[in-house]
Amino acid sequence: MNYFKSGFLGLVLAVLLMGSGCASFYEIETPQEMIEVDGHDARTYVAMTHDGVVLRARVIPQGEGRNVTPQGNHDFWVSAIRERMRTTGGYALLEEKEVESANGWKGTRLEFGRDHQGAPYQYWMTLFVTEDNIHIVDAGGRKARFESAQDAVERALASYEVLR
Amino acid sequence: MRANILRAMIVLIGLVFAVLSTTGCASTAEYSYSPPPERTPAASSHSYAEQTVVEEAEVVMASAPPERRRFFGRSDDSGQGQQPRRGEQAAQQEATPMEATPIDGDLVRPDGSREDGVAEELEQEELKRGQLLIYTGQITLAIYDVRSTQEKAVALVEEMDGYISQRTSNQVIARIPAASFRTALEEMAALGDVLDMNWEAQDVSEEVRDLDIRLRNALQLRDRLESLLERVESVEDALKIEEQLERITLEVERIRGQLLSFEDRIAYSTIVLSFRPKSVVQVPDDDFLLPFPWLHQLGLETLLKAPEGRR
Repeated sequence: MNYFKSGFLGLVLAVLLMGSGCASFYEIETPQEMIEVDGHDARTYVAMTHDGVVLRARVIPQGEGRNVTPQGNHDFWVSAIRERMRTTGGYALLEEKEVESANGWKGTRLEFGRDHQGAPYQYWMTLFVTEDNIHIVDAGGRKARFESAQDAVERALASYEVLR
Repeated sequence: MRANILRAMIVLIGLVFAVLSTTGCASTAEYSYSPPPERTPAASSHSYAEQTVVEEAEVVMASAPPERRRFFGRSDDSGQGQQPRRGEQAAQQEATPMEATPIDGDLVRPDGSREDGVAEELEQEELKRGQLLIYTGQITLAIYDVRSTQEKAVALVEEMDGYISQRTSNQVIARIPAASFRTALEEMAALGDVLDMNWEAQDVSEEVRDLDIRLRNALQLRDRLESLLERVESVEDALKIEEQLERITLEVERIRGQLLSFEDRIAYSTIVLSFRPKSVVQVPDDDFLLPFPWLHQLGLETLLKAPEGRR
């Protein structure tokens, strides 16, 4: 009996652990104008339009431990990314906006632009920072195509939920 | 005996004639060889008069300060050979637009007191100028929508009565009226994301005043040489003075050109609008890089390749 109890508890624990490991860190609705390129996993999501505008979400863990990004707050990461993109990435910062996730998490959207081989591109990056994770949702493509897909990108961003 | 005396007289007359003939030949050769060994009184007076004028020119040259003396230099690079005639030089000077500019100060009064007029004009011009500043600015924008931004910059410059002096795929050089310099700099910076911006005001008052003085001296010198040239009677001496005149005329034109260049740069400021690409490999050694690989993978390159990597 004791063995049965112990086994049952172990199974419940294992299911909980597995569940927690597989549970997504975010939720996002793919707009009709896009398709998911692959089924999204716990930390990464990629979707794109028919003409190459790409939307991507990534969750980067932060905290203590080896191979983990040290913990920083929202302002730190926004500043680090802004400067990195402008100074070494060669991106023009077109606009910076305060945004909110679908479940009320405060974030920042950095709107960049950059020319590549003479053609202008747009690149948006939205950042949410929790205690344990950095959520980066970026989208970009050729300027004209991005402008066509901008409504879809904005709908997808508006649907984004920060879960962990 | 008488016959001998007669013979002797004939020989003597012959010798005197020969001597006179030789002297005449030497006088003729004076124009070919310098200096002549002897001169007849008539030839001598003519040459002395010419020599006095030439010597006066040399005195003018010697008494001039080093700046002025330079105009009379007899260096081999003086372009000797075919000398333009005075009339041609005058026509060339009249044809050049620099002659009409106020900075040359080359004015002749009805009474002929040219030098005084020059001095007064230049002094008044100097007083008017005060502090002379050349403004230059440089703006470096991140590369984004370069063509459109360049078009906006061109429109902005033209609105301000400026002009574009150079345009390449990643740079526009604009000339803006000096009064609009600061406004133009700010409005051009607002066209994009500014990576670098700087401007400077270079004070060229001293350089312009120096050029004014050099021009005044050169003009005075030219006038004196012209008056000497009117008095000269020898072709050789006239050529020498004309050679000096040509040199000083060239110098006058050169100084006027420099003054015009200054005037242009003072009146129109220069703004260089550049678009600069940057990449991680261009980060200088003394700059920083945050040690998070994911941070350096942000951007369009990885984003647009993301679908490929997930297939």
